[in-house]
Amino acid sequence: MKYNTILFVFLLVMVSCGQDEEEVYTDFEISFEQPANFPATTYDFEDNPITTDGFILGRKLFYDNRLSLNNGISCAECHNQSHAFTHHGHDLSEGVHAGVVGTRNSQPIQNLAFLEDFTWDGAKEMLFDQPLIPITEEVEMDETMENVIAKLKEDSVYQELFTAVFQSEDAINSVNLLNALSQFMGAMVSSNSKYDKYVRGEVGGSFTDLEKEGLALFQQKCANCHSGELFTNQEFINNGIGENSSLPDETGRARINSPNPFATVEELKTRDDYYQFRVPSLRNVIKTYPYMHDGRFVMLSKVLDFYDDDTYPLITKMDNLDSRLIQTNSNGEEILGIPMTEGEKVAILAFLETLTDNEFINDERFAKPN
Amino acid sequence: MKNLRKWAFLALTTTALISCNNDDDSMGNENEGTHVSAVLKFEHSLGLGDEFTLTDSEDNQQNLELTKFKFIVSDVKVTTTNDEVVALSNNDAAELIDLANADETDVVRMYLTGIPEGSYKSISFGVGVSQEVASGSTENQIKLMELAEQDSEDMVWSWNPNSYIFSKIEATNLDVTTTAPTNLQIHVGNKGGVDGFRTVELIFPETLTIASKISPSIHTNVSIEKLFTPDAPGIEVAYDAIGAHGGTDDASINFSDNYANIFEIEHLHPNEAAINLEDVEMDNHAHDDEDSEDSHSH
Ligand code: HEC
Ligand code: HEC
Repeated sequence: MKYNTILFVFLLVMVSCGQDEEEVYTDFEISFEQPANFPATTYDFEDNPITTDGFILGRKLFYDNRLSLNNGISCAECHNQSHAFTHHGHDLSEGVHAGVVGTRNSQPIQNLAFLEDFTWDGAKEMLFDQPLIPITEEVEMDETMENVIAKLKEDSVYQELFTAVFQSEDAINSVNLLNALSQFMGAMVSSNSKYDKYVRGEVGGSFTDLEKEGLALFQQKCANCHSGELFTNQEFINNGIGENSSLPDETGRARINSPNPFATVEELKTRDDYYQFRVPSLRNVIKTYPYMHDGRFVMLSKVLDFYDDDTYPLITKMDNLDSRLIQTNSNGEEILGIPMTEGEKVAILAFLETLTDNEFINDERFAKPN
Repeated sequence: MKNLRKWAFLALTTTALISCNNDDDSMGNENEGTHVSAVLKFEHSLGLGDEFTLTDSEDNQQNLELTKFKFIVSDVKVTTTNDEVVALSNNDAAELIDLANADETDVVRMYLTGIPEGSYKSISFGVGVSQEVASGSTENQIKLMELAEQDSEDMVWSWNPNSYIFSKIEATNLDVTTTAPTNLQIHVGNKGGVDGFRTVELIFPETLTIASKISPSIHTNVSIEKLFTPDAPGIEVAYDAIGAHGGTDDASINFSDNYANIFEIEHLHPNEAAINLEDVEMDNHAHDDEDSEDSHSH
């Protein structure tokens, strides 16, 4: 269900029914605006239009610890605005249980209204039901939807908000909870980096020579995967990231594509989608460290050393290593990765810096309401 | 189009909210409740804790004890004797049939409401949730999701594009002597390109009359063993050929196909006294056992 959706402007007049002091109503309107340089949306606006009060409800939920076991943590624990909604410096994330970490690096909550699949392995095809994973996974929030709903129903503020947004009396249920979270996350568009201003010819968008060189190199060496304005072709690819011996159950895309829900790691290893991961967007990449599905590289320079054909860490050649990362040199020898000089790396890094969108990272509408 | 309908709906519900504070239900019943149009009585061939025998892929007989059997019912449709198809909303008619909630005779009842008065010749329903429904309107999945989320999301694969688990059968292998004492554990859904959603059509042995004075019941046998040993033309499936133990897509497709084989109408009780949904729901909750044994296995 993909719709090419245009421009939604919802003028919502909040009738002042705020007896609740806590609920300071900030004066803004949320409208989903299609950035001029972006691809078509995938978000289902017909099913779940983004409205200001739906957004506000979704935001309240996103920052609410009650979505987790013993009210321990909220979504924002691992999706922190100052780091483009990732987990500030963590490779893997501790969930609600102290000392128990998950197996993946937290992903940025940005531009999700344009994505075809969600999570590193594409476990979900709709933003709508993605939060089922963090809420119920033991290594994340380890709560049940039934408990969350019961907790929210005890709160009269939520009762009012859900009824206002979903126009029915008994509106607190898991579909509406998920729809509200979707509205909030769907509206989180990051499209005002220096790079965006550069391509749109706007003020603040002048590139230095080094940044221009970096852009050209990026387009030549990286944009066949990190393509377009989202900097991802949204394919699932084995990019040569080798197995992580401390995460022996990781199989990447194979787990999702296998018809067998009980398939063993050994069985999944034989599939040609083993260790494939979704090509990540590189927007705000400076802020989203550490890198890769397991956060194994702390610094971007290490990522470039990895892609490079000669500097450590090296590319691992599994049978399904993407062919775009296998080249032959003038002697007819196979080389893995993307040849880059140290100078070229400096230029690419300079370009990647231009993808930071400070307006997004400081946008108060997305911040925890006080 | 869909958008228009949605707004029309919103407008309607808003008006409804404003206009009607008095609680008369649009159903318009004489006795202040939701009339049950018909009852689907699923009488299972086995109860939880019963022993049964299945053949494994090496042709050995394995003795098993049934520990779980449940499936989601969606997309219920009834067909009149004039061939008009009446589709019931999943927000009313969807149900989770769970043997754990059966009575002493292994019967689980499902209550259908809102069927227009008239004469009917057949009923059909889906086992599981179709891809169309799962990726369609979220508003139409409010009940389905609630059903799936019971007992700690027992019918949810949160990490699968189609979140619903359609059916589960689990049994303990009692033959400790065999080399592979593999317990039975088959969970069906739409996963990795294999869609286990199946539609079951049941023809009534006589015309079923739906009327406000009665709540007729459709007594249906559920032959659990036929999932493995169906009547022809179904294909037999070794119990260990699916799931954890080197399962093949073919076996899971055959197994899913066999769902259509396990239901058979035994007879109708055409003139049973009218009942209200509110009464039976209260009754049902009294039976509900709270415990949800943790069966997390992935
Ligand atoms: C314990 C840390 C943690 C918590 C809490 C958490 N997440 Fe996440 N989130 C992650 C990780 C790790 C991933 C990557 C998951 C994967 O690939 O398996 C992720 C991925 C996502 C994605 C997919 C983004 C994409 O680009 O595909 C969304 C959406 C998301 N989370 C939303 C939420 C919401 C909503 C909540 C609260 C209900 C939440 N998360 C709570 C760690 C967390
Ligand atoms: C063949 C496709 C392909 C090419 C070419 C490619 N990448 Fe990637 N890239 C991927 C995939 C797939 C991942 C995710 C792998 C993982 O998480 O294990 C990734 C991950 C990354 C990440 C980590 C992002 C994050 O949020 O964790 C960065 C940074 C990155 N690539 C930069 C580059 C740069 C710079 C280039 C060009 C020099 C490049 N990539 C070329 C496919 C590619």
